[in-house]
Parts: sequence; C-alpha cells; structure tokens
Amino acid sequence: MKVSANFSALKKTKWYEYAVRFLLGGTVTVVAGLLAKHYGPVLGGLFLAFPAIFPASATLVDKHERQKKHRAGIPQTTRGRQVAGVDAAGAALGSLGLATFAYIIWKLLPLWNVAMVFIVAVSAWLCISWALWWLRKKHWRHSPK
Amino acid sequence: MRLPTPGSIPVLEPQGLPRDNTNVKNTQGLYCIANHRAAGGPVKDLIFRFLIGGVAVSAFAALSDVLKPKSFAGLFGAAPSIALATLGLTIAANGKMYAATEARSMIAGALVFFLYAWLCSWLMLRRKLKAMPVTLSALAIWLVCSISIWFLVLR
Repeated sequence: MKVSANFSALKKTKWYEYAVRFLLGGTVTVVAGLLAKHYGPVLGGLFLAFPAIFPASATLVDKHERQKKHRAGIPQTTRGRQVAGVDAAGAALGSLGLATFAYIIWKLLPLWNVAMVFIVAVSAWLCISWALWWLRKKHWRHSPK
Repeated sequence: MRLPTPGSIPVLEPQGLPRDNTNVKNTQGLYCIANHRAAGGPVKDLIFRFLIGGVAVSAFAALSDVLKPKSFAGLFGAAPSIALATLGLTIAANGKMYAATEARSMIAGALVFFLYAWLCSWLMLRRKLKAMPVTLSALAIWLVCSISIWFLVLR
C-alpha cells in the first residue's frame, strides 16, 4: 500500500483541537521534568514515552471519519471507530520503534556526540517502525481500514 | 561566576550521578547557560519546557493527520516527541549520563505504550468501543503499569 500525504486534512482540524494537543504536549513535558527533578531520572524517564499524541489523534480520526460519513448522508457508521483502531495498531508498532530510540540514546549518548546520537536514534525509530508496518501489511491478515 | 576548567574534578550531578570529564569539557558553554537559566528561575525553565513540548507534540500530531494510510500515520502517534523536546534540555542542565538514565526508563515506558496501543486497538476493533473513552481510560493502565515497573524493577 502506498504511503501518501493529504495536506487538506490539516484544514479539518479546528483551532481548539490544535490548542488541546499543544496544551497536552506541553503539560506532559513539564510533568516529566518535574518528576525527574523530584524523584530522579529513573521515574522521570518513564514519562518520556507517555502517549501524549495518540489519544487526541485517535479521537480526532474517529470524529472526522464520522463527520465525513454524515456529510455523505450516512448517519450511523462504525468507520470512525475502525479507522481509529487501525491508527492504534500503527501506534503499537511505532512504540516498538520508540523503544529502539530509547535504547540507542541510553547506550550511545555517553559515548558519542549528542547531535549524532539524536540523528541515529530518530532514524532508527523511523526505520524500525516503518519496517514493522511493512511486515505487518505484507505478511499478516489485514484489519478493516 | 567562575567557569569550570577542562580536566578539573568532575561535578556531581543531582542524584549522585557523576558527570564524566568529557562531558564537563564538551558542555563548558552549556554548563554556563544552564546555570544562567537556573538563576533566572525555575518558572522560566518550566515555561520553556512547556513551549518546546507543545510544539514538538503538535508537529508530530499534524504529521500523523496528514499521512495516509492511517495504519502508517499511527506510527507517528508513538513518535519520540516528548523525548526530543526534553532530552536536549536535560542534557544541557544535567549532563549526558542523567539523560541516558532517563532513556533507560523510557524503554520500559515504550513497551508499556505498546501494551496500551494494542489494547486500544483491540477494544476499538473487536469490542467496538468508541475512541475517546478507550484511549483516555486506557491511560490509567499505562500509568499503573509504568509505575509498577518503576517500583518493582527500575528503582
């Protein structure tokens, strides 16, 4: 299946939905910093993997798909829930890439230049996540889209 | 304020984690910047973190909105947005070893995220539940599992 970008999707999102994501992301970042400051980096580090993006994204995906169906004259639909479920499956694969990112930071940051470690870690997250997604598409049973 | 000289005695970071000499030498300028910022007040640091974190999460979330198919876009729901926003600031303030320790815990958090996302997917696809109640209530599971791992294994 081909990966593509649809920039008109940005217009579907209302300004307050962007604001909610901004507030949530900023709040989680602050909380992670405060927890690390008061309880140490071991606890604070857990919250670097807090699902800050996913709940809002899945909710918006569900809402936008239902709105699309309503505009097409279909009042009752399960499409939004199904698309959000597929989005969640993608997030599950991405979290394994996230674990790889964290492992590289843990092992290489004390040894290498900071910028190089970040480049390698982000590249690893992207490659591992993409590879797992591709394997799932190619070899496993398809979930409803 | 006197600058620490390269090769001087390493400075102990918070929680007793020693900063290696290389780190002191490489972060000479950053060490001064961190102290200046800390002198400006913890509130400024928190505001800075809030803004950076908000921008990072919003950017990845917008990318997730734009990409198709949705199974691929979901990968960006697990993007290292908070980590990218936070680790740079942490390295500047506390050094590389401190940030590396945070990253070790992040591995556990990411594995719990896998459990969380898989559960959300199963509840929405198989149990036919709506997205908002599932994703928000499952956050409690993420919290409980993560804190449990911290308490039992990482502490």
